[in-house]
Amino acid sequence: MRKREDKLSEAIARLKQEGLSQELPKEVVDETLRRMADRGSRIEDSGAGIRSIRNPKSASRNLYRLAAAAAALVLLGYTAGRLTTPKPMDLDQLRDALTPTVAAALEPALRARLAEEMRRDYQLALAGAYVRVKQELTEQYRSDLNRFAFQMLAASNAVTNELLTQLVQNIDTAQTQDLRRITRFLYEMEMNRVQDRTQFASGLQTLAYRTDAIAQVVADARPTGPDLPPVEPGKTYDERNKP
Amino acid sequence: MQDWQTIVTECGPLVWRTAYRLLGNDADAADCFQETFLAALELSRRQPVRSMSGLLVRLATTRAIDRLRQKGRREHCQAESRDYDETGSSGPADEAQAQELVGQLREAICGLPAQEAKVFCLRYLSEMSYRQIASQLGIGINIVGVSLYRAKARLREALGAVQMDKDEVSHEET
Repeated sequence: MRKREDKLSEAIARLKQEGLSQELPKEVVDETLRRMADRGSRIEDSGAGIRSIRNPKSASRNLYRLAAAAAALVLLGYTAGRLTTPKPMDLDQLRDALTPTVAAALEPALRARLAEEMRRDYQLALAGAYVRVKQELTEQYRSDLNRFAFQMLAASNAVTNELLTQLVQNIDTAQTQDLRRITRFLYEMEMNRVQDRTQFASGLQTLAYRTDAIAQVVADARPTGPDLPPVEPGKTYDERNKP
Repeated sequence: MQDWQTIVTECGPLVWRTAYRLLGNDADAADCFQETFLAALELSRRQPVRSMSGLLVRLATTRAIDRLRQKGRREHCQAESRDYDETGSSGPADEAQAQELVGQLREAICGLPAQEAKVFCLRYLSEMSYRQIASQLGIGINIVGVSLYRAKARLREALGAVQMDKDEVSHEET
């Protein structure tokens, strides 16, 4: 494979070298230009052109011919135009003749156009007024809405404040009533306590009297003896318990 | 409007070298040269030409390959009868071998399909880029690459086969 590759490369190199050493013969160039000129002249005759390889003298000669032909054509046209120009018409007569016809022809179109323009203007004006009114109503609606919102907010604030004041007053009244009721209950409790104490004291005294009476009875009923201390009648319990 | 005298003067040597490389003799190269410029003239009359040198090289390569095919496997007498001093090789034997190798390559190019032969010649003999070849032949760059690969494979095969035939002949003679 390597040998084949080397051989192909060598062959390509040799082939490239072959062309390099060859000079282009002058006669080949001349013959080619001659054949191209022939072909070019045939092309020129058929409508297309390659002028660069043609004879410059013949080209300039053709140019002069073409310029002369153009000038002659222009002169001929100018002369024919002058000779065939019609006489100028009477403009007033022409205007009088044409005015009714033109007016009759143009009037419906002008009316229709005017009506169309007026209709378009009305539509534009109505459209503009509609837009303007819509904007104004929208602005008024927004301003009214804001005003009502402020008023509602203020009113609700006042009502809320009043309700809060009433609530505070009610709370104060209830607290006062509770305080009075508690005071009255405390007073009643104190009075009951004093009354109970008094009753308890009187009960104790009654008990003491009765105890003394029982003691007297017991002392009176006690057997006598030499070692027993004599019972002193007529002394109360408190008197006996004094040190 | 193109100045064909200037074009022929400037691009003529390139076209001549392109034609002579493939054809190997003055007569065929001269015919190919003239046909190339006449074809370019006709082509430029029908459509605008962006690269005149590329067009001329492509036309010369195409014409030369066609002419090479028409000649078939004939020997290139004029090319072989040149003086040995022209290439500056070491001697007549080397020169003869080189000429034989070049002849084999020409025959192998002659046996390639048309598109592969054009792509190969434009790439390796005219040293065009892939993009230029694709633009001149109106094909895609990928197709250029594939054609080039196939052409090289066929040429390698052809040159190798020729070498093997010669080895067999020399072996039988001995």
